[in-house]
Amino acid sequence: MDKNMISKKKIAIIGTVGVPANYGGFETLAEHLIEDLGQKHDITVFCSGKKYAKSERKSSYKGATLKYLPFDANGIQSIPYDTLSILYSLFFADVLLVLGVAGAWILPFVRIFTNKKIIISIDGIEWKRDKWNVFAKWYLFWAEGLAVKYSHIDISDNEAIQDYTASRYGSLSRIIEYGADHTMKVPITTEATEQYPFLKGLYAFKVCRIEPENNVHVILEAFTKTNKMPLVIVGNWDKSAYGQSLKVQYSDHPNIQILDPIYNQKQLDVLRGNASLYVHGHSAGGTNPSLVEAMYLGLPILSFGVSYNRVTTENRALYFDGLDNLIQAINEIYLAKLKSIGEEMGKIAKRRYTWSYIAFKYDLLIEEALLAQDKMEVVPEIKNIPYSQLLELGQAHNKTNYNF
Amino acid sequence: MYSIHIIGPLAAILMTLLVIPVLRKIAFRINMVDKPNFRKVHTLPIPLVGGVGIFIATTLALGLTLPFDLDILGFKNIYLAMSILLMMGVIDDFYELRATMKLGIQLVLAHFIFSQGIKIESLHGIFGIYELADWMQYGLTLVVIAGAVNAFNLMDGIDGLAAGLAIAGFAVFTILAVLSSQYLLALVFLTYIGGLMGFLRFNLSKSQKVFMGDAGSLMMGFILVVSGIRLIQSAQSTANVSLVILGVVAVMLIPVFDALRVFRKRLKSGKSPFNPDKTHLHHLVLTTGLRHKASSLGIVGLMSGIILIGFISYQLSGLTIAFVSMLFMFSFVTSLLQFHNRLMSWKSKIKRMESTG
Repeated sequence: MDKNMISKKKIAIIGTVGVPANYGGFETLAEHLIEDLGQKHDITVFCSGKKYAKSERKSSYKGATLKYLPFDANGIQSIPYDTLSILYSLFFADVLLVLGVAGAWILPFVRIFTNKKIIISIDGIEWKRDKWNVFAKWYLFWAEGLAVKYSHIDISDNEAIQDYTASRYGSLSRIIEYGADHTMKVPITTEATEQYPFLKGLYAFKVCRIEPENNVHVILEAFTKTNKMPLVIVGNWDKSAYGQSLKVQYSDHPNIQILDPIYNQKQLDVLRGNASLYVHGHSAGGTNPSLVEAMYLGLPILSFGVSYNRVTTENRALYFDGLDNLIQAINEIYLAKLKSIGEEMGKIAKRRYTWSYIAFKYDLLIEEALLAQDKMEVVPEIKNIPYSQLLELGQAHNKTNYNF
Repeated sequence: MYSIHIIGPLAAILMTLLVIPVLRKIAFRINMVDKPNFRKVHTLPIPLVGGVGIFIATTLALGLTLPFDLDILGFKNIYLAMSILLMMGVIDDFYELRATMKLGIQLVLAHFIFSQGIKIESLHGIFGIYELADWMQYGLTLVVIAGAVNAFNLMDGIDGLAAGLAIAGFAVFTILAVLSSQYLLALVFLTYIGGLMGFLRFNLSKSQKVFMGDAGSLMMGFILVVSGIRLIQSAQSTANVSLVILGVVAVMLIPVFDALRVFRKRLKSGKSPFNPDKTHLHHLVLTTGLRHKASSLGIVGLMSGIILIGFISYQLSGLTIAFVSMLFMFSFVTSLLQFHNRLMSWKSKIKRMESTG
């Protein structure tokens, strides 16, 4: 028997801020991968030295090795951060699990000169987002192509993104979403009702970054036009001109409660977990961790109707596309319906969005990557036959075939 | 330089300002207007009288030079050829002539120009080639004239672009003419700059807009390329010849190489090179979100950049390197624009996918 079959494989997780997780989706993912796969594999996580002070740094965490690099994991510094992490991991790892495409420019070299297996998660469609300037968009658009082309396996977090990678690159992208079972339903305390009196009644809830792509302006406007239930909305209002002007415009409206960011997770969980309706306005790419978490809490979801959100909620939530049908959707709400949607969301989340299931899916991909030689494609073989030959065979109609 | 070098251009501006409004009214009456279609970027019918307007105005302005002892009549044969081309353009603006027919006329005119002694005789050491054989002189002259005229015609896609490029081109030519002591040519170029500036006043206006039409862009391309060849010939035996060649090539580079780029792309995707689409330089620039005037200004800016790069690398090294660096700059900018274009088209594709999911 091959010695490799029994020895632990070495996995490097690249592109997160680091663990212990204090930040977003990728960090929580890394933490759960360590917990669930740490027995089976030898995991190393690259962490940002900018976010973990010297005193909090550890050489290992829950059995995983930690390496610190002195860069930020986000913004322009993510390029050297991911690149150096990839280069560093070449010295020890068997499988590189790269989260995000910032370092993808180096992957062609890794593929040509080494035998390392690369799994990359392309994380939504980052280049399309309004928050990037044109140069960042150019880079990300280019890097995404390299990431898909030069990885052994690429991961999308949503079916709608799988359609995109298939039509742009002809790649068979695998879908792995996020887990949500770290969220907890916190009961209402008298202390909490004192601070937030609206907890006693029905209320709609939304927490997000205050950005136009999250449709904050549409949702605020809609709730001023209905008195079905008040809207409680938490976010970083003071960070942008957009947020500041919305805060000024809507903070006095009786049906709207604008709250500044809440850093105490428990406090936030009370507000979120006991809401009668969760409003989700995200329009940007992919499966949003916050939506998945709300579903896990069994909240009825009223979501912006882009393909990503519909796929995440299996088309069983309530949807809106603009101001008018949002108002209509809110006005048509009745309690029994909310209850059944909430139950439905909870069921979906317990089936699809638990960390053990997500970690299991990653494990399968790691096994597959170790055996992978070439990349799986969705481009049919017939594409490789010259047109003249197709014509001879009476198959010319297959020259242009669109799968999507 | 004489006082006519100031009076001529001023007269040309003035005449255009007087002539075009009149032509505009006539154009609406006889329906000589450009109607919007899917490739066009305007939404109202626009009179196609700019070319004729510039022609009339500059002819009158050049007429003022007759009393001076400048031998302006020496150009009468070239002027005749240009008038025929203008007429062809006017007819084309009316009836849409067949492409082969237009090319035939252009080749006949190019032959006529060659027979007048205006020809490309030597490559002056570019790629190590000097004096050309007679048949090559003939072939090259015809290809260059017909090619440049059509390339310039294709540049006329957004407000101010063809005129802006022509003004910049004539400005460079004026400098080259003065360097070679060709004061009469300098006067002609300045006069055309005047006519084009007068035209721009209408072309860039909202309420009184006119286009130069095929008539105008063919004529401008023709004057530019014939003058270019003539400038090179007159600098032939002087020390300036390399600099003149550099200037002429730099002026023609954007229209010519953009046309070649578009043709090659169409051939590669299995289409006819003359199949109209939205892939010309100005279409690419528009996808960046710039407005028309800004886009035109940007492309004229690119032209100035190319001229500057060409001049610097010529000073540092020589003609061949100068050509290579000018071409490099052009292809770098167009590649970047194409890349951006691809990004934008994926963005709208994804938008469609998002809403049908």
